[in-house]
Amino acid sequence: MLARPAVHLTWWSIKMWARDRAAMFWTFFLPLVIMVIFGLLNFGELGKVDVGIVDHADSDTSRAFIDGLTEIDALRIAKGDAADERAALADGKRDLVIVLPADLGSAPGGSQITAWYHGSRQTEARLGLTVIQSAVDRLNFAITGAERVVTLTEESVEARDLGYIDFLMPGVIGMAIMQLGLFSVAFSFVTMKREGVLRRLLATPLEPTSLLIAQVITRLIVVVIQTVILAAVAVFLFGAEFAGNFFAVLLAAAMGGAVFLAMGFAVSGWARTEQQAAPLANIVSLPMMFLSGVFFSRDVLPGVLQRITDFLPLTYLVEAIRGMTVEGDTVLMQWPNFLGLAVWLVVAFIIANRTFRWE
Amino acid sequence: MPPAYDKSAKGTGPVIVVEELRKRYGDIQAVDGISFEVERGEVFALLGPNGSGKTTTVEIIEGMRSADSGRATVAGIDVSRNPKAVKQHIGVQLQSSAFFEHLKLAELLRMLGSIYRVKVDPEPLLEAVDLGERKSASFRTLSGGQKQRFAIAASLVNDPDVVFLDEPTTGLDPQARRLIWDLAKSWKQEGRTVVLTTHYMEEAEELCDRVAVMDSGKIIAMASPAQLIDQLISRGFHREQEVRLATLEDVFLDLTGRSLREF
Repeated sequence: MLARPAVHLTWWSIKMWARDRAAMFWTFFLPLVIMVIFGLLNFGELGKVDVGIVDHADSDTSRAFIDGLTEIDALRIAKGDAADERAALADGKRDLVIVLPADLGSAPGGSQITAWYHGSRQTEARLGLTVIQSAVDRLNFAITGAERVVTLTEESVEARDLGYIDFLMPGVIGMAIMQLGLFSVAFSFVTMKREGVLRRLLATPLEPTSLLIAQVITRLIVVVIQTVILAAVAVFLFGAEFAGNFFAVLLAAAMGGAVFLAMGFAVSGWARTEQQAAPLANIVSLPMMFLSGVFFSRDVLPGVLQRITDFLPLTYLVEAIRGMTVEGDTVLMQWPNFLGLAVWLVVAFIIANRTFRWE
Repeated sequence: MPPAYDKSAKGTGPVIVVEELRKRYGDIQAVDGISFEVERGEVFALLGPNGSGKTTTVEIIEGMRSADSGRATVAGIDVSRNPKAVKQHIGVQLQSSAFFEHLKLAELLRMLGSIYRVKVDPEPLLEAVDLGERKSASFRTLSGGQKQRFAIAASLVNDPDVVFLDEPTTGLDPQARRLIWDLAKSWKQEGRTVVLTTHYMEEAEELCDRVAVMDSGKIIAMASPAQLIDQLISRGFHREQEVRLATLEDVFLDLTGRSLREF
């Protein structure tokens, strides 16, 4: 007695997949190249927090403090007088300006460092402040000579020292999953439909669901492999952060894979030829590639667009993975993004179910 | 497992029963209330011009399309109620078949077998259609005739009781056509029932126990080829040309031999 046809078909479809060079290229090679190129270009410079410093003290203490800040990768430090730095802040050239008082480190009652930031750039300002707060703590220790009770301070500075690759890796993983889900299904099913492969299968006692299960499982396996490869290259070659649980990330990847596969089935259901499938899949995927925070933060988008792109499936996927790899979030902590993906899965499944045809 | 089925039980009643079958596409009544039966072990052909409803009829019996009304049973199983059980018993060669990319011919046959939950030995199946040498080829690289032959091998993976061939020899050279005729005859020997559609009258005459002639969705004549010819002659028909002792096809086969040219 043979196992269920769905199991056999899954095995055969994995075999077919492994022999499909074009699929290999699009799935493994291209996302990898994109990540390596963007990783090497290091757009991270753009992602740095611009900090302006107004140094009223101009003492050894203040200079040492500023030198300390300069060494932190996540910050780009500029010095100037109060009026210039305020203007630079207003122009958006600074995310944050800190003012060191003349009595820095020498005032009997403790001296006050003031931080100015622009309301529209709170994310960057908050990140900068966290880093500077740690530096201030170190300065305090240095001045008072108090023993370092909390060594964690140092580490938290390091952990916060995020590079562009930390931002990029989750983005490229999400993008690769989207491309795989949308394009591989859309194209292979339209081809099978057009050539009559599906019709031939209709003449056998095959359950349509067995075929769908085989196709979906095959691609989810590919999604997992793809995620592992991309993450491995980012972590081992570029030193990307991977704070969260690896299996939690794979779960998010599989969930996203399911969403985009369902969308791919919807596209392949509607399209009769590959020439119809290609533009449709592109219309769905291209805007998301640029609006879902794959290559750069959605913070740069106008407010309205940010609110809209909050609801894109790729946004949910990328932010879930990013929360896990960068912040070390658990699946539970990322529930809003998982919920968003689940809603999209249901919507896409309903559309796919309506549009799918065998011939 | 499907119940064991005795293919040698010949002549024990009809294996296909079609009653008052109707199917409409928009304004066109593709199948217009046809009825017929096919006996076990019989080779039966549906003949008719393009658009006469042959393929639609066959596809309804194969469980690939639903009828608007009427009934079709295969081996006693109602096709509209249980298409899967019918499909388990039959082998189907479609007018234009295609198979998965990236699988070799032998693998395709094994893959198809797994759908029927049977283990397939691809080699004898491929050898029967003279594709033994091409078992590692992919379907796409085959010539038209080879594709047709492979589709016929694929229709046999589940050792079917009834084989449906939809224009199996269209576009084939005389050698390949003879090969398929020999195959159909061997299936008859094995007790299988064969239902085919064709545009070639000499094919129907060569192979069939009975033929049904369809036009505009209706069966307008049904009998053995010899009976139909006798009926025509009894209506006073006689051929203009004199009876020849050989045809051009005989000449062609004599000159080029009977063995297949592409493997």
